[in-house]
Amino acid sequence: MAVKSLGVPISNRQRKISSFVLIVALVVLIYYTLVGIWPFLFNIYLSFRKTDLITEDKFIGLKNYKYLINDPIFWKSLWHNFYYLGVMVSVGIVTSLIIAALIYRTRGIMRKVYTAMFFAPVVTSMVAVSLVWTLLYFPKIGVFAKALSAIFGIDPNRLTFLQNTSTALLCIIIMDIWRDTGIRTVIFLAGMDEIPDSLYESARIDGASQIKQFFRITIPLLTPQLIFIAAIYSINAIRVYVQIYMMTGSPPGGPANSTMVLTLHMYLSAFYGLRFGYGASIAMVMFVILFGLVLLELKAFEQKWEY
Amino acid sequence: MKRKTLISFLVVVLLIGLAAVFFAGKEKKAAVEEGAITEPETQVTLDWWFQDWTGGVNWNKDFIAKFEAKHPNVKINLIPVPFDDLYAKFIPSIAQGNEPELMFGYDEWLSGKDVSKLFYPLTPSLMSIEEFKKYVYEPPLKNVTGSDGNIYGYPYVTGANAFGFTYHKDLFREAGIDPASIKSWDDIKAAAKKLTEYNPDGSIKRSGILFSYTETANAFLDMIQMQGARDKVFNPQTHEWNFNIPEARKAMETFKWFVDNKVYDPTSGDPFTSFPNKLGAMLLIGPWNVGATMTNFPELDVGYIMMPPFPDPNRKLVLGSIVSYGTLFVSKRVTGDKRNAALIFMKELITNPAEFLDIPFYHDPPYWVGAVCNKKYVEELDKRPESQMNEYTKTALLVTKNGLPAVNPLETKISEPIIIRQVIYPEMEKVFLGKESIDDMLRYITDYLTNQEKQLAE
Repeated sequence: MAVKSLGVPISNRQRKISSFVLIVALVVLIYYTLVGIWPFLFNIYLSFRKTDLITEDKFIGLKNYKYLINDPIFWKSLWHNFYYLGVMVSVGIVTSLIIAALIYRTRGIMRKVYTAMFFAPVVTSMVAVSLVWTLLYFPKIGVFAKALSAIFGIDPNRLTFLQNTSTALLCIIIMDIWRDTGIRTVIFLAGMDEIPDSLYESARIDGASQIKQFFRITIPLLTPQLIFIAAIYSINAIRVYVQIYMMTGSPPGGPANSTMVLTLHMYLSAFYGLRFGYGASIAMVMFVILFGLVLLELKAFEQKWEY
Repeated sequence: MKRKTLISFLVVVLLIGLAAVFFAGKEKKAAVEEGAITEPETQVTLDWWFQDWTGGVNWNKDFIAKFEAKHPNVKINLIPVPFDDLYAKFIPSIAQGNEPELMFGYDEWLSGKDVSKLFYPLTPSLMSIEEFKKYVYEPPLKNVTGSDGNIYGYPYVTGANAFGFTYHKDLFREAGIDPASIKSWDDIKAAAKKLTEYNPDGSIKRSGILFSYTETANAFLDMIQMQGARDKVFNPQTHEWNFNIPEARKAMETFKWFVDNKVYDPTSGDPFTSFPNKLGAMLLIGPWNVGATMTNFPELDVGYIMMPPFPDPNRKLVLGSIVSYGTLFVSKRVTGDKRNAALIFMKELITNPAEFLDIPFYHDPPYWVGAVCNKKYVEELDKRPESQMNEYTKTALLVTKNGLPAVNPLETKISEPIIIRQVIYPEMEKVFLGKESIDDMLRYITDYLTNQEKQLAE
């Protein structure tokens, strides 16, 4: 029997659905509270305390943040994250866009083959990829050193890659760009498929060259994908950890802290240095940066895109 | 009505969840169970977290088998854990109250910590402190002695200490160098120079010497101590470090000499890959590396040279400024038969080392385990003919007899990964790579470590 609520009749079936929705929402809410909200609130609490899990922890106000401001390794790590972000996003987008444009022009089975080829590293474990690239980058006897030496006649002793403070981080970024090229390419390809052919036909009739079509039609109409990729990879660049840890094993973040990033500094401070409060304060700074990036992303997506 | 009930239920569940998580994070206070140790009456299984290094795991399996045969009611479940995981979980698991009954860890993880809050006391539970010291060398007991004076861990092997150099015997033979003749840092320099190979353009093809990071930073501190500057470099009362001293400069200049004289290429890559690939003739490292190389690269012929005193052979040898001992601990939460079993296990290892801890002389690959901290075991090893020993056993005995008495750790509160890996070695690397002057490096590490030390002492 139907009953009225707020003047709208609700059937028993609707009531059952609404209860089901509430129960499902409850489960999700509990899960999210336990793994998201609670750790976040606890992290804020921790960032105002001095705790090593052994001695009685104590409230120290903003001291962890004061230490942070005076910690040169923190500033170095922050700079490395932004450097990572800048190179990863810009070079990553450009290379993927070029590859997507080339694949887009391919038809038939080869399109699938190329897409699969570029996508293969995406499904490979980051740990495995990092280990393989560490060997590729190995100085003097590594594949890259030998290949570059054979092809360009460069002295292999000068090709030190991960052992050079100027190139170590860049080498890791190159590996990361290579690894995720596939996923960016697939996103761009999907975006290109959405662009109506009529726009290209009109442009051709008007005598626009292929390059002009690419810059005047393809890129502007890929703006949502560009923003999406820029936002996602900016967030990833701030959270980067595994590849740095795996590729700079002795010690992590080396050489000479030239690849130290915020996550690694946070992990070492908290779990190796047993300064959990200090680690929490680094996590809070990361949160503020990530929150800012998410806001920018939301702002960018507010714009309506019309073809 | 139903909706209101559901929302109320949701709120209650959330509150319970939050409270559960909050209290789960609090340390579970446990009173240590005391009383006489008796053979377990029921079958018990003890979990044992152990670092997953091949030599140690194989060695442990051997003595677990012997132990279980002697104590049939006790089963030991050895759980190999990778080094980084072991370190990251070690103290948090105790704080959470979910640690295993037996734990292996390195004592430098406990620098400046009160171990009496973490582990089961081995004294007086097993024996008196005096009796314990009859079995174990004194230096390794420093970090495992609690604020009440009792001993809370059994240090039985060393880890990453700068005890000396692993070297390629064939390269030494080719260069006509007798390793036994190396008695000083000048000898090391001369040998390294002779062992270096160059490309036609003058760049280094094979370094005469390689430096691994933990040991290099450790050796730097040891070399300062060997010049008699222990009190100058660190004051545990004021929590101040001072590397702006001539002794620190001299130590750093010695390392820099190898770079300036084109004997060490700091861009040779991870020494654990470059040494076995003969991109270096010798490697500053802990003694365990001989066993590791013999296990992982059986085709290589390696030996070990002890660290010479610095700056001249007449000085007293000092090692292990940031010392690293592989140590066994018992959970403070063990009770009943599990407590009995865990303590019997520890007692057997301490009092019957030759029976349970014995390094099989002919075992191939060797059970590489560092310098051994048990005096009784070293006495036992000493009685055995050298002809029966493999290269690793000789190394273990050499470093045990010469290295352990020289260990003199600094009383810092900063943990090893921070002091060595994040601060001192990265700055040394900058100097090696020509990115920083020695003076700037010494100033930086002085300020950084003092700042951190004071923060930890606050």
